[in-house]
Amino acid sequence: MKGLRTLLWKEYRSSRGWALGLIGSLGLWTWIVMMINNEGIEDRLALRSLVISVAFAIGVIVLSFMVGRLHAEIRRDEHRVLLLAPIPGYLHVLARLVFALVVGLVYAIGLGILVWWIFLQAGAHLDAASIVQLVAAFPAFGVVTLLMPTLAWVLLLVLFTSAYRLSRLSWIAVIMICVGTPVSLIYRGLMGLEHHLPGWVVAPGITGFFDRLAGVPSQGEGSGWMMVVPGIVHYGDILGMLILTGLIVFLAGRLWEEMEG
Amino acid sequence: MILTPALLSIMQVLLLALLGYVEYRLWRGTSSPTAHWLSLLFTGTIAWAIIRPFMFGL
Amino acid sequence: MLAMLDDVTKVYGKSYGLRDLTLEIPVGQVIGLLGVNGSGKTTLLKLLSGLLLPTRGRVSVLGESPRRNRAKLVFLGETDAIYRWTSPTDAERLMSGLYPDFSLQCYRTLLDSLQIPMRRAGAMSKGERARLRLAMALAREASLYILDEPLGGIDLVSRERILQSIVGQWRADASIILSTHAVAEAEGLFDRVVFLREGILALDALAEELRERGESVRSTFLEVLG
Repeated sequence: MKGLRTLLWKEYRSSRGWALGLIGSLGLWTWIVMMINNEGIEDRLALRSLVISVAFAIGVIVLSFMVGRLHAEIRRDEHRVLLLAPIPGYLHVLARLVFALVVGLVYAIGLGILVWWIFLQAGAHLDAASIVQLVAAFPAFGVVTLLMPTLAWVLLLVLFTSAYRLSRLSWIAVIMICVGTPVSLIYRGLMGLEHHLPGWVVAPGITGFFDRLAGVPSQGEGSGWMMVVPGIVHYGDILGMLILTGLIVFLAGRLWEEMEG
Repeated sequence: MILTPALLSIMQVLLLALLGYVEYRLWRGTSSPTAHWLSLLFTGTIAWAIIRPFMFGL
Repeated sequence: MLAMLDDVTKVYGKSYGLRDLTLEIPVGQVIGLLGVNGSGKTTLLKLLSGLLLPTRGRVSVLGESPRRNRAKLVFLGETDAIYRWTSPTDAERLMSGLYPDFSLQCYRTLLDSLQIPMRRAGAMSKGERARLRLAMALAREASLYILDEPLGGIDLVSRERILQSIVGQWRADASIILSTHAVAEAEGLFDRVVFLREGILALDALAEELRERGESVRSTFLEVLG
């Protein structure tokens, strides 16, 4: 436990600039979203949603680079102080992954709150369960199904290619893993998995925001009306991605243990 | 240019030969057993993707 | 026997790093590993530390592979490799969390005697960083200390401090194997010297025997490898 705590602290110490920079960028996204003031409610919503999607994608890229900096540590031999420590390899991988996921989760929750604010500005007041969906469950779902396997794969990429550092064949290893991974995933059917999040129920008494969006099923109820936003479909499910990530962490841990330097 | 089945087969054989060479280099290029098996998994899967249309038709 | 290399060969692609080398390291010796650039010193030290695996032959530390026994050995590499954000305080936290045999008291004494400034490594000179790395390494109570060129590229004053610290930290139940080009400065430390030439063992002798024959380590170095 002490080893993992120290490794997590080391991650915080070496990557806090990246982490704080990413979380700080939420201010920039908020400002951009506030700057979008199109007349039409649909246009405004579409543009603001696009900004949120771009922000999430950039978050994934930034965090991938953050964990991928292990490559530079290995190239400069800085990792030796960790490599020679009597700590299992998977803990080294896990510490990097957990730190990046925590940062990713905070960032995604920030984006979720921003979406909630966008809805509020449009006059849509969500019920409590939908707010929890939007600012907690949905970001957590995105982190587990997309960010977690992506970052684990980046660590595997770095450690797999580092295994060929002494023979200077890292570039072939990069090609093989980059081509081999999607092909392996397609043949093993992991790409075909789908997962549906429950729909969000919009509380009665809101403005005519949602009824102006085409194709959204609605149901009358009481004095106001209830509206069910269709469930969000994601490729890859939680259990599948947890198993896949666990397998990648195990393999990356083995590669760490067997690394020559 | 029209890719005839014969030409495709030649390309497949060439790609498989290239993959075999790559795997040979990778196997000799590290002392890590996990890297050995991972490279074998990746080359094996890519090889299967190349062979499959050859075996079961395009 | 503390550590052993048994008929070890290390091949990098088509060239040999080390060839058919057999070496025994008993407890309580300070061994000087000497040779010109490219003679295989770093390869030997990395094999002993488990950072490299032999192509042929067997390396053992306390009867097991060095990787399995990595808690018992210290490796200080020749490269200027330390996280640039590390201050002496960070290094203390990192080392005490990762290595159970890290002695805080010893580390603080070393920080003091090596006169290491309390700023981050990125803002230190190369010599100061080398001294910090040495303090991190010597503050561990390990069985085998593997020091690769701890004096390389270091100014004269720092070299003196480093050598004094190595002498000061020596324990009878541990061994030190040290490679250096500063033969004349370090020769007083050695109980035994091992000369390597092109990956092959050129000479393995006790320093005292050399002295009895009226030879210095430096003159033997020039004679054997010159």
